[in-house]
Amino acid sequence: MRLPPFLTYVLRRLVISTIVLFGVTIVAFSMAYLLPSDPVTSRYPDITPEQRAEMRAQMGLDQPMIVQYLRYMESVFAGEFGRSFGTGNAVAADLALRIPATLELAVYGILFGVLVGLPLGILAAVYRGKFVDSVVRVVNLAVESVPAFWLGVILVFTLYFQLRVVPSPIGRLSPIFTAPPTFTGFFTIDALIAGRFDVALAALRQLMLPAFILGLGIVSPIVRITRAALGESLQEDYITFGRALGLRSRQLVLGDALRGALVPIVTTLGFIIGNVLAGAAVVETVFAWPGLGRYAVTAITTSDMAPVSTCILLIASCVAIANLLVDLSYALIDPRIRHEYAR
Amino acid sequence: MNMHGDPTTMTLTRPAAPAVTTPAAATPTRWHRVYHGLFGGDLLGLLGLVLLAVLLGIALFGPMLVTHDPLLTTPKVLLPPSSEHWLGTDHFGRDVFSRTMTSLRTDFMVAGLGVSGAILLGAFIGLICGYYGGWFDDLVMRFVDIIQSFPLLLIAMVLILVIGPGVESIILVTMLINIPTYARLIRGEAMRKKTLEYIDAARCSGATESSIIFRHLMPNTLGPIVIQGSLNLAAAVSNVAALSFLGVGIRPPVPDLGVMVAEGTNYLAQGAWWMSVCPGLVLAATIFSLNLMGDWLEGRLDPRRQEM
Repeated sequence: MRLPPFLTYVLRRLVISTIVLFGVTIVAFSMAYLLPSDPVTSRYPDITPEQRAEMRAQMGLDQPMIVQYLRYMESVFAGEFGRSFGTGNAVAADLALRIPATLELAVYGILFGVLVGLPLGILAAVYRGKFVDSVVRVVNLAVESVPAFWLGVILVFTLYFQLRVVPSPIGRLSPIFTAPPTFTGFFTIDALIAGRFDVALAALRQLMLPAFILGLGIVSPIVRITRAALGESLQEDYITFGRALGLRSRQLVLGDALRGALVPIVTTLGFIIGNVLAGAAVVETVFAWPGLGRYAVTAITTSDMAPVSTCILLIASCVAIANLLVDLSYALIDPRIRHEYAR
Repeated sequence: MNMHGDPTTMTLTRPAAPAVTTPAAATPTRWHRVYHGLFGGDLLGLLGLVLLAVLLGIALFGPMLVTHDPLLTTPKVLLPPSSEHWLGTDHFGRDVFSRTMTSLRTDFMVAGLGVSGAILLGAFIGLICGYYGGWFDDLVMRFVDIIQSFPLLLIAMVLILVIGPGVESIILVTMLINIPTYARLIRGEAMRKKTLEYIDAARCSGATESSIIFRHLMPNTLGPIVIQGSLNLAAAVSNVAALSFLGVGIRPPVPDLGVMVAEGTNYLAQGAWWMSVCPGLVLAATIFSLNLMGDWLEGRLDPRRQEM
């Protein structure tokens, strides 16, 4: 092994993450367990108390909490993640249908957020204290202040109901198209693989608005951290030295200084992924997007225990994994940190 | 930060006749000095303060300024804005303007109480953890780690349903989900500052532990709290509105901006844009003003940013 200390670090982090995730299953399950309304009564309002008790016994709802938790964990290890009262399916099967939808939305959203946020942050850092910096600051504060759900409503009203330039907000694909055969789970890519350019275009058009709104939500933290981190690394001695050597400004800013600033920027990206997944709940509700967020919201409002705890567990795991990857990527980005491990 | 002012504004002499308003460019007036002293030439901070003052005024006195009863349902449903109904009427024939004016109060109250509660409890936890350290600190911080890895919007939804819907539970949940932020922030501040000379000096002069923590350490962590607090208020208003929009926040018929936007979405196809647009604009203005204030406070109070 070339980097044994690095490897031990990875293993230690993995062990700690696993322990934390066990804690998360307990908290997530207790929350779902405490949800007040009764899934039997809400699904079958006019049954007799005897039938109700029988159904509860059938679903295992009459058992003490600890037994229900152990049953849930058993099902987690079996890869089923409990059963949804709402859909009647294993939660894993429900999620397999919905995760690609959210993932496609999130990937395009994050791509948009980074493509807009990073250049704005670089501009603000390079022209710190100048007019450009102030403009970026105001735009940033304004963008951050617009509630995503309201922006969604406004854009749907003007661009769909009034101008008809975007398709109606009814999920991933208009019903006149059939979904492309699953390959990656991303409709835009699967359709291209299947050679259906019209379907790919239609899917992209459905995706445009929700991805834009989801991405807009992360522009502001990206701009802020880029400005701060790049501003700091532009003050470093190696940049001054590079300037003294007469290196080109573009090379210094985009090459050397940005690389030095990449660690805090990537750290923020890890934190942003959790935000995006939670923000998806709102955006998916506005655009009837059949994803994880809407599934979670429906499960919560109908007290559907297994999906609630699984969704919380899933998002918390994503955040944990993202943070782990972020920590590990430091060594790739920053030679100084790589040097630490190598010692 | 104070470089923009004319050198004469820095002296201690007062202008001879402050009541007479001269053209601003010619001689600096008292207002000019107040503006430069407070805002360091930051027009945005001033804008934020004015906007926030107006919105707070609406929140306080809004119920006296309404043109109609905000809860009164009438047969005049979905009327567009007119001289009778300035912002139109909703699907129950209620006046949108009057509802908007009365709902700001709830949003400010929920966000304000929730965030202040989070600051009080979070600061207490953070101070104790940062000052004493040890196993208690480790335990609390791991717990904070777990909480912060949760999707907070979904957790807030679950908690509200568990506690039972209502304004009180939204305040409580806003408080609960924000405690970790402050605990972590204040812990860092306390750890950094507990080794400074003035703490040693206090200890040498016989101050008790609790007096060191609450009379010497705590006041010196206020700057970051104030900055974080105002940015957090903006986020809290936005979160409460999102919860209401998703149907678990403030419940109808209590007028709330998030609920009004959500109700409006069902009537967009009929062209009733005013139901969603106007409450949303007020909501965005509220969040914007709080963000501007946070940004301004950061510029004033954060020594790192002052140097830059």
